[in-house]
Amino acid sequence: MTIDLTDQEKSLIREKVQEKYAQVAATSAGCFGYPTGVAGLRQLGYPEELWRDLPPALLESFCGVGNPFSLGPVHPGDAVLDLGCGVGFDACVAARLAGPEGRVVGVDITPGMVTRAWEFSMVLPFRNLSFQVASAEKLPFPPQFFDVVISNGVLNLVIDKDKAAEEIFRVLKPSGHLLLADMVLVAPLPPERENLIENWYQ
Amino acid sequence: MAGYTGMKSSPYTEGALVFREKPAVGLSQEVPAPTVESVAAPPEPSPQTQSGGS
Repeated sequence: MTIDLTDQEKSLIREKVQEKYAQVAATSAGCFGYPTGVAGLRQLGYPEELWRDLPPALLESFCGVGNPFSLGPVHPGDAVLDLGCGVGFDACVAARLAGPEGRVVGVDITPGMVTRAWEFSMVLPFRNLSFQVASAEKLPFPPQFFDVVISNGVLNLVIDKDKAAEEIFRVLKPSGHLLLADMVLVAPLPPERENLIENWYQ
Repeated sequence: MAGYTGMKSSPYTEGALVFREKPAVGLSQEVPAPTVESVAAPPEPSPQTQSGGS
């Protein structure tokens, strides 16, 4: 899908999205119109045994829009990419499922999120988990690197979605799986809200 | 699309789930068509769709 935006508009969107998520890195409370934190995890049906021993602050930062793990398995030994990992909740779940023989990499475009993800990971027992700053539109991995790509509420914020999709399928191994949760439009926007750049980050 | 999640960020938006498998080698030489058009933003980004970063 192509969205006509000027370079200035694209820069503004990226800046404002990062600004918003730098705030979310501290807490997701009050930032979204749907349940977040533990309430969100329970509503989405994340099995409690996968998260109940994770740090409370990590759980409270969860702001996913779905449970990508409900779509398919992560097997022991899998290499998993969490695209737009935020502070790393889904990456931690993937690290648990992939086990010590697997590896999980979380990427996020917001440095504050990645910093928080590293901080959380330091107090967790997962040694198969790493994080880095990267854009979905330019993934810093070789082709056919991952068995599974997960993403949760991120691609709606990516400007060049075709490029992101191309990158996802580039880094997936043949027969690899994309487990995706994201926001979609389910009703037409009112005319006064159409074409507003602010829609991206308000 | 596998279904909706019930997470609504506005009257116009809701979380959705999508599963895709990359074709095995030999089955297709083509890059799989982007499959996120149904989830990745709609014609215009919608109000309060900011989400994620789980």
